Order: sequence, then structure tokens, then C-alpha cells
Amino acid sequence: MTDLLPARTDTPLSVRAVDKVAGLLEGDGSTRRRFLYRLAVIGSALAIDPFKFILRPTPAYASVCGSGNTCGAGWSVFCCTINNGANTCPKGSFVAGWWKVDASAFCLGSARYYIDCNRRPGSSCRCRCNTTGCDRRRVCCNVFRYGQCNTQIKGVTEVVCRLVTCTPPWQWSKACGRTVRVSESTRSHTSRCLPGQNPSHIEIKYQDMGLVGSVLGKPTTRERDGARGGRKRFYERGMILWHRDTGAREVRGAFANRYRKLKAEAGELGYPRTDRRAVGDGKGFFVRFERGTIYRAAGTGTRAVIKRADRRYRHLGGPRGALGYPTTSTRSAGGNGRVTSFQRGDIYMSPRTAPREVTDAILTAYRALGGPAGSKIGFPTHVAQLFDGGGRMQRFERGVIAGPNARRVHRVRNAIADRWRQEGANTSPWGYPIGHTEDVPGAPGWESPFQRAVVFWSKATGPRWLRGRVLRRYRNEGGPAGWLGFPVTDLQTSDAGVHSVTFQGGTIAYDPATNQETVVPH
Amino acid sequence: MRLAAHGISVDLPRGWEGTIARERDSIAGLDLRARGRALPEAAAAAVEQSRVFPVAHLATFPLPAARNDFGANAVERMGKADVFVSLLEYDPIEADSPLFEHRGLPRRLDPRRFSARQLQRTLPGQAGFQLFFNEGGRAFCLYVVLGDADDAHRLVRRVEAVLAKLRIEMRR
Repeated sequence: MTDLLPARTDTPLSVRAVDKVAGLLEGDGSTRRRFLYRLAVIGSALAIDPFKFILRPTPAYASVCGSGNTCGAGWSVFCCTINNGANTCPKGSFVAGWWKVDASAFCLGSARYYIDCNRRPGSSCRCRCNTTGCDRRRVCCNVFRYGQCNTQIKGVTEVVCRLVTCTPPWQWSKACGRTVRVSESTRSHTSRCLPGQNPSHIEIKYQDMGLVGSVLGKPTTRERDGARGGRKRFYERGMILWHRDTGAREVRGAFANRYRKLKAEAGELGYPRTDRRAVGDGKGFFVRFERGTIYRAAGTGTRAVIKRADRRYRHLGGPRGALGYPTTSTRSAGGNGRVTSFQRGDIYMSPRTAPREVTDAILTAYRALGGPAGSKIGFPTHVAQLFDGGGRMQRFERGVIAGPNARRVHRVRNAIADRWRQEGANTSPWGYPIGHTEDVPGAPGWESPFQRAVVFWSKATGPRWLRGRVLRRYRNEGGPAGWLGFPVTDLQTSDAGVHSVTFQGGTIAYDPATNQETVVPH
Repeated sequence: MRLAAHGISVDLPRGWEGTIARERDSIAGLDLRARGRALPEAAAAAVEQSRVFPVAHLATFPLPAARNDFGANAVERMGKADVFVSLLEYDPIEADSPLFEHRGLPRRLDPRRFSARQLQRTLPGQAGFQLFFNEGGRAFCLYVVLGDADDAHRLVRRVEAVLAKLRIEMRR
């Protein structure tokens, strides 16, 4: 003999009365179908008042709640009927299994899934007929289990009620498996609290989320038109939006607040492409939109990363990548450009430049110089290059930021930067920059110090480099603002070993053999 | 009559009929396709993702062609002397789960364990019984409906007669 479940004989009187009368009408089965309707009528009536069941026929509730809507028909009630409108398992029950009906008008031609909520072992419930509305089916009576969900819970308990979704149960809940069971007999079953046939996509979405039992709460508006032919509806804690390109998606809580500040679907983000999803690091969540993503994590807030910045950010790994979570939304950065700040860097972009990330010491220097608007080097055009020995360089529209290590980086502007890169950048004779390119006081040009040279630039002379005694003497003579003006040659060394530089106003030469400096005006 | 398919076989006693089948879609889905209409995209995706396992229906009365996995649309036609047996296979990854922890198809059943409450759909006079179990690395549910709860002892013997002839092969 097998170890079987105990028989259940504690069916209440009212339910037994329904069954008994149905049985008397039933006969031996040859005319059963003919009696089903009468059975339904009687069952409904008896559930309310057993003494009046013959005298009072049931209204045409079946047209609203589908066939088999009476207690005597033997089916289980829908959860929203007995759970204050919530299409969720009531307290003390669990998702125990499911079946489907294909090509359902309740799901716009897709399958409709019925998911049983069974009594959780250790909880209690009373077998009864529901007595309100037209869904007068059984509550917590049928000890039965479809068996594809929560198989870690053993045994078979009473079906408290059943949910409805148009989402496959294995997608709706990780607790459910994919083994298909079908029951065409329930095709028309429904309840007044569920969407009717040919519902809107938003109604289906809300139903599958649990109706008033969902995280969205109750509706606060009617469904209405959205931008570009879409639809939307607002709820206590969020909204559902539908567009033919994206399907129906929910946006809620802080995500909804941020989304609405950005003009929701009519703004830059467009319609949501996903519901809220976990990043997968245990810290944050995101909602993907047509043209960007909103991210949220503790400590960084709810931030929108828009358009190309988001594509670049995701290319870099998103929140789990090098940049971490966004700490600002994408915002204006001057010059029609935009910037988004993250925990470990910024992404800049402009109409002229692709989105590029700036991080570490280069970002610190770039920000200190005023970023795209104040730094005089514009937006980044390339990602940072790392060199052997810890040096680094990042190219911008009008210069570079570079340095020998992560602590010391400096701005080099325009033609000086181009010349430095031509000279070999980190391998150039100049070495790395050790200060920013700055305007020369009193002269229309720039000066830029490197480890082994100083470079002077003017529009007329271009970038020219000096060092050593010639440089010292040049400064003593007043530098670019003095009578010599800007250098017109680089430091040159003759075959005899004499160093010399020609300037706009003269020449400086230094002979190491004699330790003699000579300054000759033109 | 002998039925054998999908690793399940049974020698049906006289007066029994049955099927062992694995349907890709429900009848409605097949009807839709037969009428030349494609399933909606989401529905087609769901069909592709779902897993369909065999279902054996054994009964002492004529089984209608259109019936549901747990016998709905068939059990309504039972007489008081009839029994209906459904053996449903599940995803074998569930075979080790607590729900399917019972080992082996039961060959003997206790009539006292049958109840009018243990039915997918309560129908007057009927009694049912359900057991999830594993056998040969496979996961199953045995679901039995008796036409007359008051005649459980006699009807259970009829069910046991067919269970004795039912074989489940090891999972390949």
C-alpha cells in the first residue's frame, strides 16, 4: 500500500448541499451535459440560500464570468474575486501549478495561463462557495495540484483560487517549470475583476502584474493616448506604457519620477523597452528605454543616461564595468555637448565628437580646467592611452592631457600637442608635460613645460622647443615678451657641438666646450 | 490491447481503452494552424519554449477526442461504474524534487484515500486521488477518478488491474 494523502471529508454543509443536488439531477450520466446548466443555476442559488434555490433562478452571470461559474460546477474561484481584486495568491497560499488555453481572446490570440494558488502546508482555509458577484466558484475545496511550480513544496493541498496571466508561467515566476498542461474546458472561465475579451495591452500587463495587488497599486487614471500612437495609464506607484515597437512595460517608483521629469514617453528617452530589471550585482536596477536607460542604486540615486552616452556606457560594461553607476543624469556640458558623470569617470560627447569616457587623474585635471567649456581643449576625441611605466595620454579636440603617472597630468594645447605626438609622445625627447600649456604674459603665444624641454608657440612661429643654457638665457633676456620674441627654430646642435636657437629678434648660442653664451640680434 | 509510446506501455484489460500521446499544442492551437493562421508571435515563442511530455489516458468508457490532460471533458461522461486514469509525465529535472519524492508507480491504492475533494473539478458522486512520484529518472503524476465514490473499493480494484500492467521505462 502506498503512502497517500489523507482523505478529505470535511466539506462544509453548504458545499455538500450543492454537490448533492447536482448529483440527484445528474442521474447515471447519459444526459449529463443537458443538466450542467441547471446544475450551475442550482449551485449558485444554494450557495446563497439552500431553501430558496428552486424558487429563485440564477441571473445570466455566466455571460460575464464564463461557463461553470457556479459552485456546483466544481471549479475553483479566481483569486481576484476573493482577494480584494488582486490577481495574486492570497496569504497562506502558494503558486502550485498551471495549465493553458491556446489562442485565447482574453490574451489577444495568445495562450491564456491559469495558475493555481494552493494552500500552503501549515496554513488553514475553509472550503466554501464564493457568494458574491458572478464568479461563485469554489474556494479552498478541490485538493488538487497541477504540479509545475514550487516543487520544493511536497504534497497536494486545496486549491484556494486561481490566477490568470497571458505571460507564460515560467517567465512570470522563476518558481514555475515549463511542462505544458492544457484544459480547454476552462476557455471561457473568467471573473468580473479580470480584463474581458480583447483587452488592451496595458490591461493585460496590469493583470499579469497582479492588478490591484501589483506593485503599481490601483489605477489613478483611465488609459489614454501617449506620444507617437502609444498608450499609457497611471497607477498609484507608477505607470504602464505601450507602443507597438516596445510592447507594454511598467515604470514605477523612483524610476517613474525620474522618467516623468524627463517628459516621459514624449521626452528624449521615449517608451520603455523593459520593465525594471536587476543589474545583477545585488546593488542596483535599471529600466531600458528606446533612447537611453535609467539606473538606480543606493548612494548614487536614480539617473538617466541618454542616447549615445548610454550606448557607450553599456559598451563599457554598464554599472558592472569600469565606470560604476551614474551619479548624474546626462546633462549639458557647453558647446552643445553633454556629459554624464559616473562613480569612476565621465562620458562626454558633442555633435562633433563621439561619446568618450574620461577617468582618473585626467578627469580630475579636465574638470579642474573647466571641462569642455573652460579647459580650452574641447571634448575628448579618443579614449586614454596608457604607456609603459605608468604614463598616460588622452586626446581632445584641441589638445591632450598627459602625464608620467596617475598623479601628475597636464594639459597640452593644439599645435604643441600635435608636435609632441609627432615627436613620439611618451618617447619624445621632451618627455612628459610637467605643467599646463599657458598663455605667455605680454605676448600672443603659449608656453608649455615638459620634463626635458619647454615649448613655445605663436601663430607666426609654430611650436619650438628649447632647453638647458639656451633656455635659461632666453628667459634672462625676457622670454617671448622680451626683445627676442618667439623662437623660430628648435634647439639645434652644430657639428662642433654648439647649441643654438634662432628667435624672431635674434639668436642665442651656447658652446659647452667654452661654456660661453652669445646673443646676437638680427 | 497493448499501448506503447514514449517509454510508457500498458496491456489494457478487456473493457478498457486508452491513449499515450504527446501533443505539441493544444487542440485550439492546432486548429488555428490548420486554418492557415499563424500563431501570434508571443504565442509561437511560448510554444517553442514550453516542454511537452507524454500523457497516458486509460478509461473504462469511450474517451472523447477532445479532452484535457487531467480528464476534463471526459470525466463528465463517466458512468458510476467507470474509472479514469491519467498518467502525466513532467520535466525530468523535477524527478529529484520533494513533490516527486515518492518512488515508483503505486500498484496498490487504498480506497479510503479517494475523496470527492481530490478532483481537479468536483463532480457529483465522483472521487479522485492524485500522487506525484518518480520512476526510472522520470517525474510523473498519477491521477485517478472513480465514477462512484460510494463504490470505491470495487472501482479501485479495477484501477489496480490496469496499474499492474503499466510499465515505465528508464529515462534514456
